[in-house]
Amino acid sequence: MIDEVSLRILWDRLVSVTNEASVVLKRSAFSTLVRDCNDFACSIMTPNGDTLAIADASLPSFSTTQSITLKAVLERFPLESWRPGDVVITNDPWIATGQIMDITLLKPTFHRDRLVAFTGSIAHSPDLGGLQRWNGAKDIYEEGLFIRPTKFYSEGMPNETLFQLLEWNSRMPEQTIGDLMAQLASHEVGERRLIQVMEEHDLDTLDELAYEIFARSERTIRAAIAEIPNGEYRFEMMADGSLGGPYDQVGERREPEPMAVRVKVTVADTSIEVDFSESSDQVEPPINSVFPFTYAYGAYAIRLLLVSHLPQNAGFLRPLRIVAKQGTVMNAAYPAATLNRGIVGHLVCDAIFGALSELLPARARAMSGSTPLWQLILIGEDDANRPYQRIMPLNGGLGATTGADGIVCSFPANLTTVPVEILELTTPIRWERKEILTDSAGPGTFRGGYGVRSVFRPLRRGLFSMTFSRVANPPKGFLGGGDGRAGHVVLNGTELRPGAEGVLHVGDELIVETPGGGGIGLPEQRPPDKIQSDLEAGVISEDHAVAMYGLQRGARSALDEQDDQ
Amino acid sequence: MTVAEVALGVDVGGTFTDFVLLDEHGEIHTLKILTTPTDPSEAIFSGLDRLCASAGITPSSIDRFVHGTTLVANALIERKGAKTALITTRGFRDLLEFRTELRYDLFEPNLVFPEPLIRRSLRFEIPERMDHLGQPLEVPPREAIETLVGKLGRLGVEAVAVSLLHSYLNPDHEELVGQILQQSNPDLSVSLSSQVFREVREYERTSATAINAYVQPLVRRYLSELVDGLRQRGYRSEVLTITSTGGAVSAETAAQFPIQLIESGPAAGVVFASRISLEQAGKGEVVAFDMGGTTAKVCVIKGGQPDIGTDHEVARTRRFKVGSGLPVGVPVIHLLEIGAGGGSIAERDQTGLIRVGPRSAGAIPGPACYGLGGKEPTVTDADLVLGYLDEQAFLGGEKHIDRRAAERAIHDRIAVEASLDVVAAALAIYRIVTETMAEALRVRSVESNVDLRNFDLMAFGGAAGTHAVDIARRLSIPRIVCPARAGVFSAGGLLAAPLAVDLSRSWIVPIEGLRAEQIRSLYAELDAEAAGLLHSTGVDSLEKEHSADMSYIGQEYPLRVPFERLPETDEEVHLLGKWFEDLYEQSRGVRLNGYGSRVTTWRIRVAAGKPPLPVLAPDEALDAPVKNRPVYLQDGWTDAPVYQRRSLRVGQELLGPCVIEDVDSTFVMLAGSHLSVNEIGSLVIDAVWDGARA
Repeated sequence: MIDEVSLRILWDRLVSVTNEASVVLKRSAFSTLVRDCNDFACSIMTPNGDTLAIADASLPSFSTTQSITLKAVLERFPLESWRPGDVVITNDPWIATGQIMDITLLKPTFHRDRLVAFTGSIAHSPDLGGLQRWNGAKDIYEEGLFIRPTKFYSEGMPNETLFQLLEWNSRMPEQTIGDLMAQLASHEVGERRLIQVMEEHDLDTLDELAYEIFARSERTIRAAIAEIPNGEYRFEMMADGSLGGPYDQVGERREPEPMAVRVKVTVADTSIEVDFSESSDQVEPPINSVFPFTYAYGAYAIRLLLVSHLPQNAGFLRPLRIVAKQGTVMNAAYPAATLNRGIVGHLVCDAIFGALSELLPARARAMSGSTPLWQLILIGEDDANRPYQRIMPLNGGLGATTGADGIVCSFPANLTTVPVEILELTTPIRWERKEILTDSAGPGTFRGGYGVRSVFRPLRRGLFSMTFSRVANPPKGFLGGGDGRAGHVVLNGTELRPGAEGVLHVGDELIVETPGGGGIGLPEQRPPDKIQSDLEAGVISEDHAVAMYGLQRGARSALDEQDDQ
Repeated sequence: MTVAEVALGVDVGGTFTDFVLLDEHGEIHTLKILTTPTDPSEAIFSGLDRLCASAGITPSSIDRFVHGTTLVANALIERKGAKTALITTRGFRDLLEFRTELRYDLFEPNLVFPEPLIRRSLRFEIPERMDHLGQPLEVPPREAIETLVGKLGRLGVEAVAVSLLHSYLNPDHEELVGQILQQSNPDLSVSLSSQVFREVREYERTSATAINAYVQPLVRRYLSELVDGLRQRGYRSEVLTITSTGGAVSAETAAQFPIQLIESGPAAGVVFASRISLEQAGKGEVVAFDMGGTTAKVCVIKGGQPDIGTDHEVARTRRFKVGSGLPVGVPVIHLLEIGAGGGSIAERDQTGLIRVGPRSAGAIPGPACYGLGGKEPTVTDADLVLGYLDEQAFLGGEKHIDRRAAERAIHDRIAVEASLDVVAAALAIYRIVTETMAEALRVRSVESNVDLRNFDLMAFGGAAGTHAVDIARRLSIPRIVCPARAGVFSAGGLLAAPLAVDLSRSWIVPIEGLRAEQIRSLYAELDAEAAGLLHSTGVDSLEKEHSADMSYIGQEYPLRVPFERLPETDEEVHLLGKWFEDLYEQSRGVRLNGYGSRVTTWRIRVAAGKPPLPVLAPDEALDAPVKNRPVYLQDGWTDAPVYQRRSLRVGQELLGPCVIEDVDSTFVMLAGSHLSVNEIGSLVIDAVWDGARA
């Protein structure tokens, strides 16, 4: 039996080991998504494949998938077959992160001649071939090099054939291989530090420690679930569809078909089941979620509501069941294209918040303008005829929470904006404006984050692929809060529909207006000084203040007048 | 020794203003008085007069005055700066609001960021545009700027930040705007982004410029009063201030770039630790470890050079969360702040396990043992229960602390539920807080790519000595150095700082195809700028250190690469790439073949000779009786000898377990550790002693 103090210290040490590994991955990676957007994860798992510790900065969608991956891999490579120096690689969306661009590596740690743990890492690869236009693929084969779980290293010897294939299939082979090297380096550090911890504390195995950590985590989340009344809580939301095929053929694309996301959250004493099975059937465009992704964001939403600040591990997942019938938009079947899985998959969080906000008003969060994420993908050649591919997140307003107004950021992903100067340096396009959209935030006691208006003008001909949603179905407010403004994408005066892609010509004008976040609580209860300061800043108009907040017309800020004099 | 100069270092902290005076005989005089927050110069003058009187000198005989100040950081945290406007490129006035758009914590339900320093109604756009090569696309029309000047005047704006897109490549438009603003209103404080922080990435550059503008009027007034007061007392030389990288600059430079003073005080302590370690211990590999009431601060020093970071933030809404503050941009010594101090609170988290910090009882109510109403147990309470602190002799006997109150708090909040007795619970708190610090340092050591087993730990600050041996053991750090007069360490460090400025310029360029002439001309400009900033300090011989942020092409995370020299010929330019690759291999463990390298930002540090290293010799030794008291160590109570630090003599050696009490700190020697007093009065402790020094 481990005493409580040692348990605290060892538990923290394991998290610290994953943090150290993630520092190595992050600083050596080529991928801007890894460095600036934390599009990575590092973890330690038990020999059974249960997550024991995961680096704090790991992307939520990756936090639980490594364990799913390892369990699947262990079916193919049984535990007794592993040798020191083995590494398995995969990007199979159905057992990993739901997207072919994310590479998962798994490596066993041996200590005193025994396999004591696995270290896992995930990083978004700079390039694996494929179409690159996320709206353009009709199946997984068009999206990039598909790698089912296979040995990347055997007893320390690299799989040269696979290395060669990866190089041959990447437009940026140095960067693709460079990032794999960064991942391997992080495993080395994780492994070394883990063994050091075990030596210091004279541990033969991690079994007892894992048992205690899981048991305690499970008790904690069960206690939190027990506070929610038993019952079935349902929520239904409509989501914009996306333009359909024909892909890469001449012809009209099919109009977007709206989809329904339906969730049933069943609370029974100390456990929770989240069931998405009644959602719409899988759709043709490459926007369906894949089960590990649905699972990961379901777990994230529940953690955020119940045990937000505790370190993550498998114990917290035990009382949680997440279900989605195969063949629905929440669980697309192989070989669907999945690069845009976030279009549906990110809505998992909004749906769960919708089902539970009335029940847990203190932790309510309205829907967000960047749920799902908006991305502009630009492809072409620069002035020196070098190819470029730029994936650019364009964030909208965060949904308000009980306690804070929304800001501009992505959610539930966490992707930073590309600086204007960096975009213009690396890509032949000019960013002419980037500004707050007046009146775009959903009103409420706490208002949503603003939508953002950007204007782009290409300087060379190139391709674009625009991933977006919330055009027909704006982000909803909860608990009396109003909706955020819907988004718009306009090319040369013509409104584009989700899934749009095509050619940008020199002199074209592309306007992107991201959605605002929903509000929380009745707008009338918003403190007057906050309404006043939003008015003064010009982020809400007087008309909006009158219509939404019941402000007296003409009661314009005294401050403002003072400023004008 | 020749007749030394008379030098005075004054460190204005949040609570205390510390003075260290080095007289012409090389003797040290110190003083610690309360800071006068509304007008910090009040405490400076009264302390200066007192210290001069007691040292028997007149202020006019001081040759060098150096000071460190928290004025800038405080003004930003308390929002006490000037009414400031921003002028920016058309279409981009909301950059300060958007920030990087990154969430600083994935699991924080309510994200809160600091309000932008400049509110939206004071952010103005002008029709203007520069392209990504620094070619003007649209020159700002004079009339537009003049109209704006009128408006700023009517609004009562005192300071203006000008930050235009791509100005790091071509500052012409910013300079034009600056000229017109200054001509129309000479009283206006104008900060141009191309002068404050000439680097790529508009948000960070704009943030730095806004910070500089916001604090400038305040700092300018303060420095001018300080200079006037010192002149009235007959001081004739430059009034020097320490920057965040530990260089001393003139009042004029400080007033022009007050953003560089953000970590003024702490930088002095780190510079001092670097020099002591390099010049006295001959090592230069040291971790500066300062543990106070609320936090522990750590800086890794390699080869006598402190880690310098460019991702410093101020006014964080979540103190220990990177990304929750205002980015400063300019280089700052890389201080890691850990939520672990004497006042850190021990509590049970949601899982029922004990957690120590980052919540702190602060000074009020403070630890339970202070008897000021604090009911929650803290690290100080645990240290007291374990016998590491003395009820009677805390802070030299000036403050009485209550052991019973500490026991009660630990009993009620921790021991009962954990089924531990009070002493075991106190030991748990001690172990957990020590491990928290050790963990933070482990991650930091990976970030800095250092092997801590080759490092010394230099411990200062009130709570450091109580935990230093345990931390060192957890990290396999063999040796701890505990300087004399650690209570005025930063003030002493002020006297060790050279005159120096750091300048940088973003120019993203691959090494291949780069010509030596291009590098020379870039550095010629930076040299001239640096000389201008140092000129007023009247120095001729300048030492230059060139370095650059470099990476493999396509890789975003740069390494700071020091240049052994500047390439003379085009053939030598590839040396830059080689130095980068060597350093990359050394720090990342791999060498990537066939990848080109590039520079993103060029840097120069220009310094004007180091002043002699001041020696903070201990106060005159006193005979003090050795008392014994029960101290709880790893496996039980020991009746340990308690020494007064002032009674220790040079060369004296002690074996743990024992306790060394100083005026404002206590050093706990665990069993198996060994201490000796070196020739300048520093305690040198071997964490694990096997009978012979390694």
